[in-house]
Amino acid sequence: MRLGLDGRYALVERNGEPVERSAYGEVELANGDRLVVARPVAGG
Amino acid sequence: MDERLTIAGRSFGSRLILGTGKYDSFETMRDAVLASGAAMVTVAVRRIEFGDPGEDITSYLPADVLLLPNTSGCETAEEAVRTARLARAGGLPDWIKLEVIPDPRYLLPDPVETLRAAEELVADGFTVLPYMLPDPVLAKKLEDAGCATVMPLAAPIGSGRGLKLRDAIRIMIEQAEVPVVVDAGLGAPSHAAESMEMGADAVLANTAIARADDPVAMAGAFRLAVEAGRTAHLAGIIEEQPTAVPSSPLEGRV
Repeated sequence: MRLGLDGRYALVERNGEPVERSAYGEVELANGDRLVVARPVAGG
Repeated sequence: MDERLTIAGRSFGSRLILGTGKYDSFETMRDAVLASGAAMVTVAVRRIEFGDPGEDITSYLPADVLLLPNTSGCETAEEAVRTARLARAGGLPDWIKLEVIPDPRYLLPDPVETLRAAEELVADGFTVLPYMLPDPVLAKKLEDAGCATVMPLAAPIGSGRGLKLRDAIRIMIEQAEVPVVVDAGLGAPSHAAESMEMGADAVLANTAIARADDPVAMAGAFRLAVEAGRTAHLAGIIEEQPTAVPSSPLEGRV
């Protein structure tokens, strides 16, 4: 699945734990995994 | 004159920190950041909408500006710590503007949860800049917990009402051993100037610039105000007097 993100920062949490950016290419997802994908947005 | 701001050993060429929210476009936000001279800008962290990820704000920001992620939207210490760790793991700096705000009407920060989150984040290696009510006692506790700054609100976020809590902020400035950054509620450059004249180390502005008719021009005005206020503070502002004090000599009058 591709999200089409073009930014420098995609922030990923897997099963409640943050995923280190350096490990993005190595983490294998399993059935039932809960993912949160976030990014920096405008804010004060 | 001491023109540079130093936080946690890092030096910044500007004492104006900008929030990136509420601009009509990222282009205007970028131009305002450049006009402000800010060396640090805040960003929020939000979930991506699958199928519509939107534009990447970071691609609009100058590369030499420090991104300061915030924990806006967090109502508890646990939520704030989770957001900070998510941001850092994803490659954002390990600096965090800590906001724990359970009250949606006035957006006032929770002092107990803020302190709890600050202790945990400092222990985890973060450089913590906590947004807080201007409470000198809480400020000392946050400082003792290892926070890099204290960031008292001048007035409720986005209200533009200026330094409504100046007396408490003045005490914080007098007592603080870390930089004091006046954050939130500033509506005009004069509010920023007054903060700096009082001895604040920096100010953070967002709505006053982003919602101005001309945000880029207003960013420049805030830049000048911060510089003027800082210079005035260092130059030594005279004490107020209860009565008039003549500027011309009384002797030798014709």
